[in-house]
Amino acid sequence: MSNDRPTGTSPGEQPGLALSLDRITRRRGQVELRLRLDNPRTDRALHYVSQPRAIVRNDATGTFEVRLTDQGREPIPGAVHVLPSFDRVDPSSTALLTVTLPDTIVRMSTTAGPNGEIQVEELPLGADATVEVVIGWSDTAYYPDPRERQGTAGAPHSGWEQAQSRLVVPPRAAQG
Amino acid sequence: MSISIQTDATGAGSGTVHADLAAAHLLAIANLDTGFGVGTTVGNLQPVTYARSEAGVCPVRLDALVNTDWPLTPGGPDIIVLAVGGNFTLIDGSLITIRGGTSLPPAGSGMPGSTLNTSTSTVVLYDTSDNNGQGYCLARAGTGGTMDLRLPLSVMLYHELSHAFRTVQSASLALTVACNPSSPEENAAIVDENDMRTQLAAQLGQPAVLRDPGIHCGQSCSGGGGGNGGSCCIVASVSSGSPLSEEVQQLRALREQFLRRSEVGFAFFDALHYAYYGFSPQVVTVMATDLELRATVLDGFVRPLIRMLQAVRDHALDDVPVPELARRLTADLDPADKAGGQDGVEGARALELMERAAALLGGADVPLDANQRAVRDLLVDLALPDPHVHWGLVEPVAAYHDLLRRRLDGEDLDGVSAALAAFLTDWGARLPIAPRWGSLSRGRVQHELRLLDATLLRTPQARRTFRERLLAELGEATAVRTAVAATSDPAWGLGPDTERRGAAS
Repeated sequence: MSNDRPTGTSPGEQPGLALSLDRITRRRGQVELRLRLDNPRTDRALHYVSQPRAIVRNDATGTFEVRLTDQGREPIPGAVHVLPSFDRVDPSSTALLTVTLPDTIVRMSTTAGPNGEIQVEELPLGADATVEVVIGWSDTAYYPDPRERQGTAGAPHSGWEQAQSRLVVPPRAAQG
Repeated sequence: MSISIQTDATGAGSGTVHADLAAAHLLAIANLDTGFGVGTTVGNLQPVTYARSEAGVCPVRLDALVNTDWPLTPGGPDIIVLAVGGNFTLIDGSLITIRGGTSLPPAGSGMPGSTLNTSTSTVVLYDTSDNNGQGYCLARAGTGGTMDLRLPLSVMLYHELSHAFRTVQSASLALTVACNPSSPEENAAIVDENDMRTQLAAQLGQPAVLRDPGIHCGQSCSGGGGGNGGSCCIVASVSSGSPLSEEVQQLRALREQFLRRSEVGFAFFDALHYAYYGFSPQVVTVMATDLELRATVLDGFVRPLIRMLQAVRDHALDDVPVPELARRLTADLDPADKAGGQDGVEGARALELMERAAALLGGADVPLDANQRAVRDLLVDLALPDPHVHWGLVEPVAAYHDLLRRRLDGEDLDGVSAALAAFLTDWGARLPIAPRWGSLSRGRVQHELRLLDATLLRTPQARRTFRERLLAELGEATAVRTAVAATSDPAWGLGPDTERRGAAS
């Protein structure tokens, strides 16, 4: 069990979604993080993105940031805009969210290869890695905005987020 | 040289890019035109060649892409194709599975996405894992946004090449953050994508089902089924000889119309599919050319599984009594047949099949040939340890074999019926608990429990056992704790005090 303090408040200083680590398990090709999500509010459910959208490795620190949010992502061409899944925690309640990650991430490198080739890197998500989980949430459920908006950064639901909660899972928090 | 396929990736192990798949998907875009080819690899880039003889829209587009030296990248490949897996991320860390594929304009071009590209070529990336086996579900044209249309990999690649086609001409249209309605750029790519869908449908002699160009949003099909009779059961497909066989249709119907209709049933199949596709492609490879092995798998596993799941379904949804189920399951057998006398072919065959099937699961001591041993090793090492595979695929078959053996040993129908009833109670209560329970709302947990009570958990003993397991695994979740208390018999002692003990155990 992690000793991290739960984090996350909304701009109005209302208590926000609090995260803590319940356990880590590993099975073939996957790492599963089971997180406790506590909603301290007594009056409103908190709605959150419930699947990973990005895994960002900080090369300087070796930390993997697992992002359950699309905040700040620029629109680029793609075959499909896969909408995230959402869940909620009722007032004064706890939910257990299992986040499944690949045990090795293949990342496009920031440096080009010879002859204009693309370089990629394999990044093992080992037991010695620090993982930081970021979850975007709101006290209102997400509804698609059917209005066309040009030139605004972020995914369609990024304006829905009120705040993000973070949890640092230190190395070897669980050997799985 | 206008399109090149990247064959390997410097800085990573082999197998991180799938050049052979990229070539196959480009060939599909060429409508299997014999003029399509690949040249000699230079470094890690394999140039595509194309002397077109096909007249269709997609081959013509591919011809233009391959045989034009576009001015945006003078001297180098205009487009590099990378076929990647589901664990791939772009430079910004975004997973490929949130887009399926993407087309990145050359670095420094200033076009959307160019800051994520390190190459002076336009880079087309696409996910050959099909969303880690779960599939991408898109809006089907003419339905008002029903997301039940799958995205074949060659169609995904053609969509990205549509973006690239405009990029290399510096003619890209506007991109917006909204996915409904689609941006002009995505609308144009979907219109092009539908040309590829039409071409594929024509190859199969089927009517084309098109994507709605006005909606670029999509979602995971979660589990590979989607809502349109998606992929199913490759072992059953190969053993029965066709993905359209009666056995596969029966399994698909049981899965979609019974087993996956609840949240936790859906989540169970997510886990089952993940494990299943970890061993089944290898099993299928061994089976492909071995007719005897295919027959053993079909008669020893696939058909027994269908019969047992059908019995569970009939009991759960149609209230068919257990004695009637026992009669149906053993109707083909007569104890007198066991000796294999004049009328004993069926019984003797059933026994032989059971022994051989048990041997493939590492049980019965029956001599096995090399292919059978290879399948046994795969099943013992990769399939049996997984609780979802064991519960969902192995135990029903083993139970069916047990019922047949009892009948062949002379046990009367009452005895067989009692054994079946005991199995149903025990098996239902041991349904693997999906992590999904932990993030459901209280109302949803109650709904799921009541659904299970009406189907798999038909006896008080099964209901109590399952709830105890659920509390032990996920009792810290408020919704689970309160919903279990609200749907339990007070005599079971699953109120708040007991719940905490369960959660701590």
